Amino acid sequence: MSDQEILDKLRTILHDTFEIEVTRVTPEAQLFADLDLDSIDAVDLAIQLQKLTGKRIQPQDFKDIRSVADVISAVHRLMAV
Amino acid sequence: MKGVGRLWRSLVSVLCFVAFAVGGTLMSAVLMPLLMSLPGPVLKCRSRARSVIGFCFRLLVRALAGSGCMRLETHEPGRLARARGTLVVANHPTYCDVVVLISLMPQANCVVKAALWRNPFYWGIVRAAGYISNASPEGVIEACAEALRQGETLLLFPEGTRTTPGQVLRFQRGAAHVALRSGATVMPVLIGCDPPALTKDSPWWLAPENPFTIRVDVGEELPMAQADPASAATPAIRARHLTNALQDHFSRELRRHGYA
Repeated sequence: MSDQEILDKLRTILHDTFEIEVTRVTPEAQLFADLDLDSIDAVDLAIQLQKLTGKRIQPQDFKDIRSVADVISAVHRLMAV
Repeated sequence: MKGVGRLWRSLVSVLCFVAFAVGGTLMSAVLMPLLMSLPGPVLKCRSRARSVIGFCFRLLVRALAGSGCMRLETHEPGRLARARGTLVVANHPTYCDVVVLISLMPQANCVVKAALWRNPFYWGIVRAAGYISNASPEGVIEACAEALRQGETLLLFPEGTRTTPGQVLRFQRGAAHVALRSGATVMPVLIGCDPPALTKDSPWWLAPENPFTIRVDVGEELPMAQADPASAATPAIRARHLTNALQDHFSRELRRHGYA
């Protein structure tokens, strides 16, 4: 998948799971500061990413994630495994 | 004369803090282990521990009120005493709030910072009372919901920390998740402190220039958790809606009462 395809999928996930407007989801957007996710949402997001990639997500895959761009590169990493 | 009054009230506040710490240490080291070793089921031991905590907090409230440090006005406190399996949510202007509220509903459960499980003053108390630790975000939500399902009344401060005076009220979504997951009714408690005292910004040892009044206004149970039907919306979205509704309710009512 290209970055743009992953971003589109993320926009759908964030909208359907958290009602976040699609236009707010840019690569620079910070998940916690800008998109107002919290630690409970992070668990839901991880589940959605597992569905997307078909890979089990380990806590260490998630610990450095701050921005949407970080999520995109994490998805790339997971898909490459 | 005014300075003398403030000096006296500062002295009383410091003494109360010392009593809190010394009392807490003795209770953790001696009284609570003793209570826990008494015969009877776990729930009975926990209930005894909470009764002792309630008694100490009533004493503390009386000391603060009797010395002229604080005035306490309560509206419908009986609703707290009668609540069963209810999620009590309150705004959090001062560090006295929890003392005042637990003195009014000693058998309630509450969420306590995980660090207190290893705190030399309070470790024995939080353990004996069976309070819920905030160690993990997912764990704390489920533990709260389970306590409510078991019929306990639970006290939560949705702000997660004390209010900063003059700032817009901002609720975190944990309390809404707990309400939705447990199906418990929500009882809103408005707390006002006038003039602002015991806030995040004020030094703990210095009493405010004038005695302060804490007002506790216990509302009727809100049917909000049930009002949001089991729609297609995800729990995360329903928690957002309920949080917004609660936040609006508190902002509006606090303003209407002149508390904020």
